[in-house]
Amino acid sequence: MTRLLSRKLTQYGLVLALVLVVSFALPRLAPGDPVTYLLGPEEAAALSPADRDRVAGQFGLDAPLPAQFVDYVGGVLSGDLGTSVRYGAPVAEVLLDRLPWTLLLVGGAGLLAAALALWAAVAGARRPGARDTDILGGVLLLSAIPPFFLGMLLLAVVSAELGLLPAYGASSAEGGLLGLDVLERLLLPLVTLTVTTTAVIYLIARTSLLTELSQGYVRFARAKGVGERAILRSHVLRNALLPIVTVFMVSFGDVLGGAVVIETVFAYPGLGSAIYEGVLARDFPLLQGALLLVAVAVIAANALADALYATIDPRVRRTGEVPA
Amino acid sequence: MSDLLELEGLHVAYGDRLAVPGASLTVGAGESVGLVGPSGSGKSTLVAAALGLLPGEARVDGGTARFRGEDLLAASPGRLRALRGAQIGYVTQDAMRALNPTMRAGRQVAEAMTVHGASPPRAAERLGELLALVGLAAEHADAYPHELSGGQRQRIALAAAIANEPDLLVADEPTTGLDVVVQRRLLDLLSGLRERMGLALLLISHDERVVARLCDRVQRLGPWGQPPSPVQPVRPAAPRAGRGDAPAYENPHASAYGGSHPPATAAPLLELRGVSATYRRRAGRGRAVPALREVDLTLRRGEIVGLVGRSGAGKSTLALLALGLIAPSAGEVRIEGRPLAALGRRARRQQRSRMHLIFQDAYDALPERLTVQRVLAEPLVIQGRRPDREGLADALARAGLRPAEAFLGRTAAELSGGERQRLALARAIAARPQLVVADEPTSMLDPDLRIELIDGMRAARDRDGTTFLFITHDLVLARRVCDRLVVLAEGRVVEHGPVEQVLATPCAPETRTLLEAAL
Repeated sequence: MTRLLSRKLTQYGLVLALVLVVSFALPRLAPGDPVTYLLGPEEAAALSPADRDRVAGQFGLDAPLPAQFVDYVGGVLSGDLGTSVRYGAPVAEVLLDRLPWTLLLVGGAGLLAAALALWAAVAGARRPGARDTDILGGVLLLSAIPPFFLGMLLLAVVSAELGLLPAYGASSAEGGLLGLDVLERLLLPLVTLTVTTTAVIYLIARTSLLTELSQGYVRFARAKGVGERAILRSHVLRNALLPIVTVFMVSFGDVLGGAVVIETVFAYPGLGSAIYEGVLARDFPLLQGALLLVAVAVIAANALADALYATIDPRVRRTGEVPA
Repeated sequence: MSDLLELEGLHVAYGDRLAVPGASLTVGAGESVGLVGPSGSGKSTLVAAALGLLPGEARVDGGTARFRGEDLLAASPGRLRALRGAQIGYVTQDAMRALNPTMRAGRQVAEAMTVHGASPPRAAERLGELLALVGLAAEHADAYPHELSGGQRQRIALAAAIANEPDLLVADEPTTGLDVVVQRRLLDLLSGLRERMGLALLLISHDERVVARLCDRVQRLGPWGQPPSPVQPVRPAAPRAGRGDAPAYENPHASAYGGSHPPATAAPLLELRGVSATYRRRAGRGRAVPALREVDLTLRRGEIVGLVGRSGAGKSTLALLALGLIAPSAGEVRIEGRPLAALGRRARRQQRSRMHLIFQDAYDALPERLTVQRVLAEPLVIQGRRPDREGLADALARAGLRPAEAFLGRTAAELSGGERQRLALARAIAARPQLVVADEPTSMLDPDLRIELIDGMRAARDRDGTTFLFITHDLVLARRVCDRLVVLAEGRVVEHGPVEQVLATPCAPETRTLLEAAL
């Protein structure tokens, strides 16, 4: 177990190192630079190289690239992510400000989607045939709607036309994650993100349940006189969970990606819209910080999945490998 | 004697294909009846139909099924559930997989009692008695199925099936895949339970010897797809110690295959020299468990060598070593005089295309959705040869799948266990390899088909000069086909010699145990 653990930790360490390089390089590979954004194209063009360096120097962006990278890595290790070009505030502060909203949105949508997917899959598995295919068709149809389109549709109908819910933002007054207004504003983006996330998990859950239902132990449970409900609950679900957990954790990255689009559509002040604004502003420090945070979150999700396997399946405990 | 279970003219269809064309069967109270028939003849389907356990696409088209006079076909699902597991204990086929891998064994036995109304404490109390009854220790209750051997899993399933003291116990192929010694013990256990609990037994098996040992009467099902055949007349009870009476089957102590053996001077193809192999119980650390210890073995060209031993003796490990799929921890494996370990990647790959493994589990070994034709053609394609339809059909016919043309277009998913095993051999024959390692290739077949498969092996040897390493615990078959026999026990070769000599004058105690356990 200790050897397994150290191997896993090494793997995660390697991925993190790679993430550091990519999150540093990616924003800088895009055309444009922060100075042009701050001063506007004409003024930036009129600037002397020395002045340009001075502006960039405020954010530590005047040094040669290797030095910037060393700065970045050193900063990450000491907890300092630099200063945002767009907000003029420490990146860590900007991100921490945004994080709770995204957690609320992504976490809520993820859990909701998993619950819905599982419920739909179980409902279908319980009555294979017509009902199962109806559910399958319905989920596929819903998942075929692009998230930005669904978001705009909801905005246009629910907020603009019917005036039922506010159209943007996350809360009406400053402070406080709790309150009705938070829920009101969360609802539309949450629905949008949930709808787009459900399909992947549902498809895997359905296949997994159907596969498990055809296994010998299900047949034997029936031979013992166990009812179909109990078979699903106490035998099949746990065995079916392994691939579902995998997909849920892997799709976590996709959900965060979806959040970028949806937060932008709903002007929701989460990490996603921060990334979007960071891209527009060529805000290198903000972008690299946000990418790093997202990557760490995805790695953490995968680590959690690894730990969950062993809890779910006793065979994994022994060999450390997922059985086929 | 009043009849407990009465099935009359039961018709079962899968879609528009007939699976059971009107079969009848009766089991009286306390009676022991064997249901035999070739693989694919619908034995399991027949029982599943009566107990309301048919898969979704199958349906009962006609006939009656009664338990104690009650119409089972008209019974509600709830009523059938109440019968199953309570008055009718049912050990389903492939009991190796009948247990939920994520639930402790004891809970799976207790569940059989709690679903029929026993309180959890009462069930827990009785659990100990049940485990003792099937010859397991109380600790086995806490084990997960993967921590138990095949025989132990089979006993757990049996404990669950008899937990509520049923009047009728249905056991579907209870000994398939178990080695002879374990098989023998399990059959003894079944007959002991019958006597002690006074239950009626319906034993489904393709192996007439198993049935003959245990049953008062035998009923046969005809081959698949044939018109409804009247149930065979009841055969008088076979004496306890009697050997099975299937015509093609002989007593392992009697005559042997008299065909020509290749000369002992033929060039060696595969040599194992002082080969040992160890496994580690846990990934990374844990005690190393020796699976093979200093084994010496030479296979000459065109020879068929039988490898026998109980499960856990190291037979499969030896097979993997011979094919170079695992590396020995000590010693050397040579193929055509060259050490396997010294071959480069290319040479090794080429070598592998000339060796063929027939896996023990014909379900896992074949891709479900490929057609039989593609399954057969794959090794040829790997060797860079063009598969022709006639050649493939010929290989099928040689392995006993006839009419071959009809099988080519089917997918493996449509084949029964026995048919899959024949397909696996056909694949090996079609590839015309130098060496075939066949790991229990006949475990799911009925006796006649076993013989046929074995004869197919011998024909392949005579035609292509193929060398076979035949892993089995069936000494009858070993005697019929093998030139030499190697007996393994606990990773060591304990006896080794010409097959008649080993079977006629066994020296090692292990060989005698295996011979005595043979049915």
